[in-house]
Amino acid sequence: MDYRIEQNGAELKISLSGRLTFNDHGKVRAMIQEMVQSSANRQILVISGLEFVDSSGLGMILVAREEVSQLNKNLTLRGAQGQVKRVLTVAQLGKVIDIED
Amino acid sequence: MQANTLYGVGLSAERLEEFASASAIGCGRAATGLPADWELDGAAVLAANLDDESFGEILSRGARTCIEIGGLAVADVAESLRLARTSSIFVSLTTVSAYRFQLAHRIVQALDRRQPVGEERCYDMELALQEAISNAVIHGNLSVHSLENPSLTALERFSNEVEGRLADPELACQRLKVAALLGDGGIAIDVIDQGPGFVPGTRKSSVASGRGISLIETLVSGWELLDDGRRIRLRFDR
Repeated sequence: MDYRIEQNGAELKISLSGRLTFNDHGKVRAMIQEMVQSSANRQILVISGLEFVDSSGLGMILVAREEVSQLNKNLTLRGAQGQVKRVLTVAQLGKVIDIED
Repeated sequence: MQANTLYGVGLSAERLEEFASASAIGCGRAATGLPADWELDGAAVLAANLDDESFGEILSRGARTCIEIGGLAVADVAESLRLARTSSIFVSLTTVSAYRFQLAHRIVQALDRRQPVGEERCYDMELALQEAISNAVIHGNLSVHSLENPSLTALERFSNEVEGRLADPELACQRLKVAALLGDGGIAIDVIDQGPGFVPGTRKSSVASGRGISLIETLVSGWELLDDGRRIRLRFDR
């Protein structure tokens, strides 16, 4: 998995690409640290470039959500495609995190 | 004719010959890297210093078996090749490689080339296999527990534990095997580890972990645990 971060005023966009799986914990930790340190209140994980995610990847997204929401900031998942969209549905992730098209 | 022939990648012709004769299998060619002109339809490949790209290339050229040597003795290779004969695809990797490679993806792509099942089915098979492999690597061979809670501290602890275990040569060299069988009724895929054995219901789960088995249940036609929890068999009916 690779990620790119851009901040625009109060909004932070984190764009993920590649495959987010159980061996990506090192990169995800770095990503979450950047998210936590950002002043942006509204943070968006753009996952339209993500090809594949497994349950560990979902778990790591939820760690990001938890850390961000403890700082009273909001995290949204945006643009899931193909397999990723299917996993979000099967795992019913919409119950615990905001998802938009 | 490549079927029932053993090829060597990253090892000498002499060494390959030694493995082939002990395994009662025809001896093919040996090369340092994977030569562009090798066709591997139905072949078995024995590889040293394997990386993910070469591994993917070996499977996509039609090899039926890929065994990473990684410290295996001649007798271990012979035993693996014997097991591989009853599989449509058989892979045996070290834990480190199984952790780093896109193993589930490459196996499902290879199966789909043999017997096309369609994009959506591939997604489901790949995810179920990915979950089985990550359980076998993380909880099986590396014996690392899931995230206790969805926090950066727990994720750091998990990361450090995984990296620490991967750096232990004894654990890193344990085997992770995947054996897939294409049949008339569907596909069966076994994932085999050398860990303490999985007993369902004994792992703690939190919002950030513990989804693997329930995802598998949703995605497969059936699954069972064999060999005291060291082998999970996933079935996908036609």
